Amino acid sequence: MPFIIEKVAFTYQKGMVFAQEAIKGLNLTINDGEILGIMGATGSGKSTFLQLLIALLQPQQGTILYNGRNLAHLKRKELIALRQEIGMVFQYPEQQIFADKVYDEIAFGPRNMKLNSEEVNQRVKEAMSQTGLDFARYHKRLTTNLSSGEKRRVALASILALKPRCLLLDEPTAGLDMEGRKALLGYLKDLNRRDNVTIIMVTHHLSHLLAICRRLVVLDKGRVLMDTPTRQLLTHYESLRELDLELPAHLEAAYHLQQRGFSFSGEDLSMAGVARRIAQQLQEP
Amino acid sequence: MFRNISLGQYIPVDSLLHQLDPRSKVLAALFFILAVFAASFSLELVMVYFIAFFLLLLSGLHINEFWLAFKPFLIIILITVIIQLLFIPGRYLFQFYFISISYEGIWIAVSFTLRFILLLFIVRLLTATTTPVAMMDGLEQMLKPLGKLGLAVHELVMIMTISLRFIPLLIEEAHRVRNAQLCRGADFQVGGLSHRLQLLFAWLLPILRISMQRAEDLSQAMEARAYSGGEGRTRLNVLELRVNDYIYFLFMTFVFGVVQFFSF
Repeated sequence: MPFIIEKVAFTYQKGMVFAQEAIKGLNLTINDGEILGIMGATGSGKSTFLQLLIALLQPQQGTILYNGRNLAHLKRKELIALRQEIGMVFQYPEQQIFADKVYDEIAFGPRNMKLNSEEVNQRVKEAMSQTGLDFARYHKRLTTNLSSGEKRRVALASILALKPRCLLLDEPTAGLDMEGRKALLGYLKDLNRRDNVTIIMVTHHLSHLLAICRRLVVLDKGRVLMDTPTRQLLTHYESLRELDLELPAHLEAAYHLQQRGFSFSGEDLSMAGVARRIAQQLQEP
Repeated sequence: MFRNISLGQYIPVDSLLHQLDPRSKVLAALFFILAVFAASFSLELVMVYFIAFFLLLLSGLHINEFWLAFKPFLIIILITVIIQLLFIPGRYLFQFYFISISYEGIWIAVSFTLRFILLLFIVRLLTATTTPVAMMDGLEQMLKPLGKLGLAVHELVMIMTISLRFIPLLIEEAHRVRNAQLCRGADFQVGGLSHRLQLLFAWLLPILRISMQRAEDLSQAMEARAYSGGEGRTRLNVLELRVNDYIYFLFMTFVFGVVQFFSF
């Protein structure tokens, strides 16, 4: 059980006029090998939550345990080790690329880990293949000449090169075109299936989450409002609507069809899944 | 998200000071500073402290805000005080090897510290009660006569406003890039010079690029809204000096006058 989060609270600029309560009394357990989607409106504390998980911020109340270790009690060396074990991909990670060449960018992490050049090479190759970047074609390319989708993949590869056991992603699909998005979600799914990497992904696009997540947590004003398997999402339709979260069209359709006798219980609620189910039930006499 | 940038931050409270015209506040602050320097270390300084306390009440701000602005300067004050204690000669209070502390040294160190606190106080008071935009509007009005001499006052002030506006964003950006690199195993606290330089470079480069991009975007956004410099430009909120502004400003000149008078 990697993460056990208990009664965590965090306020920015605590005690000042500008104090902003981002997280208050949050409880959550995140299991090994899970793909967890986190949703919530702007200001619901999603990004803050991720930064707490990787100990960039420390909770002012409550505890966060990772594999039984309290994140607040780690020493500097242990923190650095922790951040190799938990990878974090920030919003628009391509903006943070600094190296000239794709290879050097991806090798930054492994080199920080003091691996020898052969191991670094190995890691870079692996990370590039995991993100669909052909090593021979890309490793000498200049980072400035890449398209934004390619840059995003390089940024993701540069985290994967650390071989994290757990991957945190803040709005990974923002600003990507459909193809880029599909590919990215595909890499994440593979990563989870093949290497059992825990994936925690924050976004406000429910349809992107439904494509890969099995569990969905909705945050509202710094608290867990909803914690549900994605397959049972339709039972929470009313409360999702109340939150002003945009529901994908196929879920709206599924909900209204359900009112007319269709059944989607226990079904994969991705767009393809819903379409399949509708077609199936239309064929039934 | 917000970081701990408190030194220049405007604090929105509805108070008498907040409502004043920026010009009157800037000039009054100037006279306050003159008074601080003119005051000899005695009753006058006590009086200036009373005035400061009075202003604090008028501003409706919590004393904590001032403490936060004061904190980063503690180390400077400490170093200065130590130097003054050690190196100012006079009647010695005690001597021990090379350490010798004189009455004069203590006297000067204390009076320096008390003045320095007042200076920080008035600057913080000004920035906490005046939005950067209002401050720059005020500045533009006051510098207007220089425009006749061919100085591009409006453009100059616009540049300053934008710079001020972007400082918090830049700090936030720097935090973000640093966090991202911490997450990739960068350790900013160990390693040789070349290693650290490398890290520094890896940190500065993205910030620089993001800032360039932002400047480009901003200039396009301004042009798209037909901005073409100060000529013939009108404003929504025209600055207007009211009775309170005159009272505040005259009060501060009066304080300066009194201090000046007594220190002769």
